[in-house]
Amino acid sequence: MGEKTSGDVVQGTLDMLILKTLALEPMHGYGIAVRIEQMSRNVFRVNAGSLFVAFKRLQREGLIKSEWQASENNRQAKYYSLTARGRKQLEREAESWQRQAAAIAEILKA
Amino acid sequence: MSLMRSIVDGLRSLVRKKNGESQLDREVQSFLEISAREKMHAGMSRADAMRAARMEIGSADAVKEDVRAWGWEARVETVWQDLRFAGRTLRKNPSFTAVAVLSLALGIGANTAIFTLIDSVLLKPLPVKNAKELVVFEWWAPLSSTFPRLWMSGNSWAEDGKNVGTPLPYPAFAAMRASQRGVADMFAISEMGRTNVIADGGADLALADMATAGIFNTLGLRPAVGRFYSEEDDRAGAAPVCVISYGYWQRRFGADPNISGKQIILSGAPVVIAGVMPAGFDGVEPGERVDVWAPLALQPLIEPYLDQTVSMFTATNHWWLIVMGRLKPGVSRAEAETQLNAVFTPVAKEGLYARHPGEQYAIPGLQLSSGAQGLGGLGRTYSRPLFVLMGLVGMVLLIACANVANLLLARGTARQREIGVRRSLGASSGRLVRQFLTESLLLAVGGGALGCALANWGSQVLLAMISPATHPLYLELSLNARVLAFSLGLCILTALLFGIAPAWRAARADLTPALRQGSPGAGAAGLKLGWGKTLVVMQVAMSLVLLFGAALFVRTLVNLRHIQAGFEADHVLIFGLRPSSNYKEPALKALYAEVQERLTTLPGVISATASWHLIVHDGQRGNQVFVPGYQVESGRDRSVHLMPAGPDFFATMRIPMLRGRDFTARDTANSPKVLVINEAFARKYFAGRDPMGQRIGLGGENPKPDAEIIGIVRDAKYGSLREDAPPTVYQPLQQASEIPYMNYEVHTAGDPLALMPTVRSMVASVDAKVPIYGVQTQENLVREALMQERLFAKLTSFLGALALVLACVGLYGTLSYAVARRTREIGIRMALGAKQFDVLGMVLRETLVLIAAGIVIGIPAALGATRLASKFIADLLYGLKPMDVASIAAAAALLAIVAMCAGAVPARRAANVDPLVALRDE
Repeated sequence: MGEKTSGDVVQGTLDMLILKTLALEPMHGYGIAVRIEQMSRNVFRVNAGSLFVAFKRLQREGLIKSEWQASENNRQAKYYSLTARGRKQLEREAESWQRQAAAIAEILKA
Repeated sequence: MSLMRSIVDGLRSLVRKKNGESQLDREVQSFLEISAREKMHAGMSRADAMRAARMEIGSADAVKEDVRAWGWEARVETVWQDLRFAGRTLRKNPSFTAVAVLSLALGIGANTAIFTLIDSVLLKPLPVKNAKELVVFEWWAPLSSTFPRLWMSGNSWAEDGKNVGTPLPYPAFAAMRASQRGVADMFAISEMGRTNVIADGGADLALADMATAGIFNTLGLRPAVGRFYSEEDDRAGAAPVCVISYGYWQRRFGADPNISGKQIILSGAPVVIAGVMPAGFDGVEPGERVDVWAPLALQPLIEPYLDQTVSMFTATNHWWLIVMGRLKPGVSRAEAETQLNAVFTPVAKEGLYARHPGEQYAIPGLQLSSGAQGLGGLGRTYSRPLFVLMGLVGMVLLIACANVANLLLARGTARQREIGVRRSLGASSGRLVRQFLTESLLLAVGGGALGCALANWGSQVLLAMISPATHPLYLELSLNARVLAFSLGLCILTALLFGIAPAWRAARADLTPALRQGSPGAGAAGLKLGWGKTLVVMQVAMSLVLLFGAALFVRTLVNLRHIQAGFEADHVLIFGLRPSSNYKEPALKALYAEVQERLTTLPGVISATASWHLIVHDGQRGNQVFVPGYQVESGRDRSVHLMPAGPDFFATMRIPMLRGRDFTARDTANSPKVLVINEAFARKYFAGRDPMGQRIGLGGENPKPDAEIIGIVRDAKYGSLREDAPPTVYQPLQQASEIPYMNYEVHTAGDPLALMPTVRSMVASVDAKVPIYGVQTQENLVREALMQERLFAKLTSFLGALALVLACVGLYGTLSYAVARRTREIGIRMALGAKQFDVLGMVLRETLVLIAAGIVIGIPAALGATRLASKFIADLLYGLKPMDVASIAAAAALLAIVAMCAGAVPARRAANVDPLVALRDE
């Protein structure tokens, strides 16, 4: 993560970011990618390949589920949404991430 | 993450691959479209938007590939691809595949066959509840010649520097059972052998055991029909009952559902069948099939021969019972052993001193050995030969592996171009190694499957070969889980063994020269056959080891065949009579005498006799002898072999009478006691004296010297062909103690077995209730006595030949390949003036170097192997040492000659190279 250049999502955090995005509302793949980029103010750029693999993985783990639905402009798109397990997992991960980030921030301050 | 979901999901995507693919396509497509639409909203033209969207996503195919490559099912996919590819490659090359699979099948098949036998002889547990907890009680004593003989009926053997045996006295059994130490449950068995059974009016012989009622509980058996006998039935005076085996119930009684309560005559005593043992349980000795179990308390009634002068249930010096037990939960064998020894020792001491008053001997101790596989007698007989065979077939497999590795290496060189192309298209070394190993594994599994089929057949053939006709081994040889696991493991191991070198070479191969060269294998640069030659040398060395083994066993057999047995085995018919126990003296001996007399009158009979034991067959009888004037040094010194024999015994068996006379019908119970001795006896006890007319005594405690020596015969083998004839006393049958069964020997003019119908009707006319058993010829007995040796000679010769063939194939293949690759070089040499003879010499020299190297490595390897195995094979050899120089020289010579012939073919081909053709070939 450089100051100016936007980078790929840190390994292992992509899952959490997807979960966070889906916590707001069900969303299709492109929407998720755009939302992550927007929310990170273009710091993160999501690689489509990693994104689809992450969907497969999260689905396999039972954290998200998918459904074909009509998109805003009446096109069929696959919408992902959080499962109850996914919601819990997000809480856990967010908490642990914040703890770690705070700790790292402390260290860097010192 | 739930494992279950992962499995189900992965399986779904494997099975419904099409569906998953189209979903992915649609999703990626919709991603692109939405992305483009957003960009159009932002003001781009449709074409620009689509291009930008595609730029963003990169290659759509790469995305899909990323998704496909994720998850365990993707790995399954790759393996499946590798397998299909390997299958295609192997199919394209049928002759290579056939040779490889066939040599592996022979190797793996031979190993699996031997392992199947090892499994059923040594590993398979008894088919009872928790067989692991079972123990066999054994006595042991120091291995010294001064250990005195007790009255023992049962097996004993030397093991770990001590004498060990199974039979124990009843009082020791009773005391240990009452003490309730160490074992939760125990029982005692006495084997009756083949016993006369009369049922439904017909007489036959059944294998019978007497067993205490504890057998059923200890082993955790449940009756298939009726009930077992109880402690109440197993008491003196109780109504006699018995239990029969499931197999006997089916064979003899047609699975009669109303079998309980049926009366049979067992060894002369009326006994009621109480119930039937569960299917599959044939007693505690694998290989044997017990038909009838009767309470031990019936001994005085059904097996009175043991000793009629004392009660077998109170005598401490009569050791006759096999004892087994089940350890208490949580008690180890060692703990139980210590606890039980405290009970056993006093009884053993009493027994020993009762037999040898006033003498000091080591008191036998008690040891518990595992009873999980039963009594283990079969294992003691066959484990050594089986382990030796296992080692030999293991070596054959190694040679086969070397062959396949060689083939693969040669083919790998031919596939250099393919490998180069695949590497340049991005296949990693790991991927290539995996591909090659998959091919190897496929070959090995193919060979293994064929090998298992071969083994299934081969182990049956082997069993039939080791199973004596007079005493068949009942073993269930099945490809069970243990055997299948063994051969699967063998497949994987062999695949790694022969596949690793070719795979390694393929992975390291430098791809540029491979691609540059037009035709595969055109140039010899950098393609030394280092691996191949090493493998051939190894094969030659291992073949030498096997051929050496074969030579040892063949020479053993030859030595044994030339033994002076001291008797003539041809034209002698043999059969046995087993009257039931209600035949008492003097009717019993009268019966024996009548049959013998009437035999001599049958047409075609030259002479006929009878003896308790058969020569070189079912063991031997020992006795104490008292020879006045002979200084006795230790207890064992008075032990001789005793052979109760009928009239004309020496004439019929054609044992030369040196002095005196044969036994006649006039040597009866009431006539003066007489004996015939052999030369060994005369040498030992009458050194420098004339034995004729001397009186000696037979029996344990200070017998009267009341029997006169009336003849001396030449030494003849008795129990074993391998042992020198022991000092032996021949005693007239009619003067011997009570004999429960009798064997007859009939010297015939024609085919001995052709006489049998006449003999049968004659015996039936004497007493139809006396069954005949063990009909065969003395020649066959001698053959069976050498069965193991013959089997070994045959098997090792077969394996040696197999090894030789495989090694020659390897040698031939390597040299042919080398010659083919060097055609150009040879062409140039010839063009420059080399003669055919020079080229021939060049290739033959190379062959010779390979063979010589193999033999130089092989000789110490062979000697080392026999030294390592000498513990196993020393007993199997006869008349030569494991390090027999003549054998190894013969093996090396044979190997050199045959291998040179194999090498001569490619050498001739090299010599016939036409330089014009060879050079134009480029």
